[in-house]
Amino acid sequence: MDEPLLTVQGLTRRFGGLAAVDGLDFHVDRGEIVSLIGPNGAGKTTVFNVISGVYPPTAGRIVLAGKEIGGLKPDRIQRQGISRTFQTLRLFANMTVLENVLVGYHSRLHSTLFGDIIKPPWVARREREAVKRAQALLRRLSPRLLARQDFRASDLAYADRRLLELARALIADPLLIMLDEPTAGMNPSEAVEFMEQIRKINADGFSLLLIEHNLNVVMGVSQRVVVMDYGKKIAEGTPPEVQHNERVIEAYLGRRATAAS
Amino acid sequence: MAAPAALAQIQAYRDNLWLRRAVLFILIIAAFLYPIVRPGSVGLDTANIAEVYVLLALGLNIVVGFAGLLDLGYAAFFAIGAYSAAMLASTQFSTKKVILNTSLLYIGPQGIHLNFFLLIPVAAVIAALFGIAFGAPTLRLRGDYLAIVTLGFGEIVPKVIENMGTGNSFGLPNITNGVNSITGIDSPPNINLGPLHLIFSGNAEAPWYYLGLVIILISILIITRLRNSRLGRSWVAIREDEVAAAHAGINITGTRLTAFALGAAFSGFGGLLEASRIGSVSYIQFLFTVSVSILVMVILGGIGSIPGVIVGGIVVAYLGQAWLPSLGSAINQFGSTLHHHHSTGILGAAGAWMGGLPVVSAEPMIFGIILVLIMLVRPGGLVPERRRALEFHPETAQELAEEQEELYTIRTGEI
Repeated sequence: MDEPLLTVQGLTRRFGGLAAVDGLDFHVDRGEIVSLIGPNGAGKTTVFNVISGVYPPTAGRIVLAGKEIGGLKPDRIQRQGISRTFQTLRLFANMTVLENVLVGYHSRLHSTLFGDIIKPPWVARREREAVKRAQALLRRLSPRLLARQDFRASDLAYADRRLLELARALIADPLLIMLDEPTAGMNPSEAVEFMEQIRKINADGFSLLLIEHNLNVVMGVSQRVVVMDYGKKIAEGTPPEVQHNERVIEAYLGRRATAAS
Repeated sequence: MAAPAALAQIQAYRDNLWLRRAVLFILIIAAFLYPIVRPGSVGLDTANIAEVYVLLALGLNIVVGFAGLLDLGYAAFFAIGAYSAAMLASTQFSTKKVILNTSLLYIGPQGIHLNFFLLIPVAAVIAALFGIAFGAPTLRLRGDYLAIVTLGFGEIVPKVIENMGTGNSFGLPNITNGVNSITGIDSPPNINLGPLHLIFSGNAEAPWYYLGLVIILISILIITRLRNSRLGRSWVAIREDEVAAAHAGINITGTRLTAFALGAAFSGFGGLLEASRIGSVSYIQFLFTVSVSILVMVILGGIGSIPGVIVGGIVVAYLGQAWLPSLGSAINQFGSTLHHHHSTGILGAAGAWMGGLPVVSAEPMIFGIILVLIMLVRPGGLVPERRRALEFHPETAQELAEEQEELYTIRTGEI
């Protein structure tokens, strides 16, 4: 088999004396949807932050498509092919929907100061193509969002904002998309709709890594699930395997504490 | 279902666009006619001051409005622009022998004299280079910390200028002429283009007005282009959410640096215009209060809004130079008249009080009250920033659909 798209080996991140992530190993294959789950405080978001470059790993390797990316700055990592969304939505509130998406395309568009000021035909054409590309993506995700392309991002409904953040991540054509609790705050029907979007994106060839609390979503879309507790991986497998794993049940329901007393 | 809504939006946007263009056209014509049709009470010198303010406000708006970097020392770049112009178009640096004697550049016993139209880009580039020099080590900082650093720049630059004159304690030759200021700065060469004659001499204000107007129009064109470019988008993205911008692939420090450098460049224009119109520069023209005034123009006019900061610059100039003084004399006049008619009683007392008010010294207070009132009523500024719809809209919904069918590439199999 090919080498995995993303390989995380012995990943450790300490904050002071606390190891938020402690020797974590996992991988994402090309075209796969992998979910990272675990109780609150298990270190999931820290894993995302280290992979996407918010802070460097204390130890361990992160390899994307054969290239070591651990410790790079977020913009460099995005250029290498990882786009992400955030647990708490982070949109550019005062920019239009279309502009939000175009910002995501920043690293794929090249420009010079001269080109930006004079705007020669080739720059104008590239810009126009970027806009069309953004519109095509919005249309693919949701015609409703496309119809609102000139709205300010902050004027969108919540689920649409989530979708817009996804569009901003997708437009750069990333090798891997990391979604941090994409359905948080959605009602059940919105969550189901978003699950469809995830499947659709995956069918289009994108690989995804999710953090998700909504177990219906996790079990519904993931090909593999990695379970974390106290910064360590406690289980890994297909959704049914994980669901029946003794240690996973313990971590979620706290049987270990009961047994010890 | 979405198409009619999108179409209606496109149509509304188009209508709006033509209206905006018409208004813009009328405003430009009005600006050119202003010296001819202006009311006689306010001198054109006020308009010339307003022009420098507008250039400064436009430049600072790139830094504060677009990129969201609070710069409390912007007058430093204004000073650098003005002093570059002063040094390169005066007798400040003289050599023993004539080194170069062309119509565009003279270097010799009479100092350095660079042609004004070459000086425009040169002053901008020098100011931009200083922007990079100041920004490169400090733009990693954010928010309040950066504000304090820029405050420092604003203090340092005039101090350095003050202390780089003859016999300075750095042991350097006389560079800035120190407290004595640089005088005798060249005026632009006279312009004779067909029916247009701009003679920069004596007390003629109109040539300066037109020169400033042209520089402003070019600046607006450049800044509007920048604003709607990839670079402009990344500035606003950083302002809106730095973390999200970084994860969208934007190099934060580098992008901020371009904002800082370009903002500085426009103050270079302002400094050049100011220096050559007045004919002299002194460090006291560039103290902290100037930085604050420019910031006031940006915030009062509408932070991030190009028309807004233009209005802000004009309003601040006219308030300080014309409106407040005439308001003051109107109050005094009213008081005197009142006192004249009612020599006793409460009206008489009020009249005496108003007639004798030292309104000139109260001007800063009145200015402050006006600012507070405007900000309370219009927190977004006089002309708030509006996110503009982009200009690339396909002609019809049908075209939209056809074009986009092929643009969304399915990735399957070729990652």
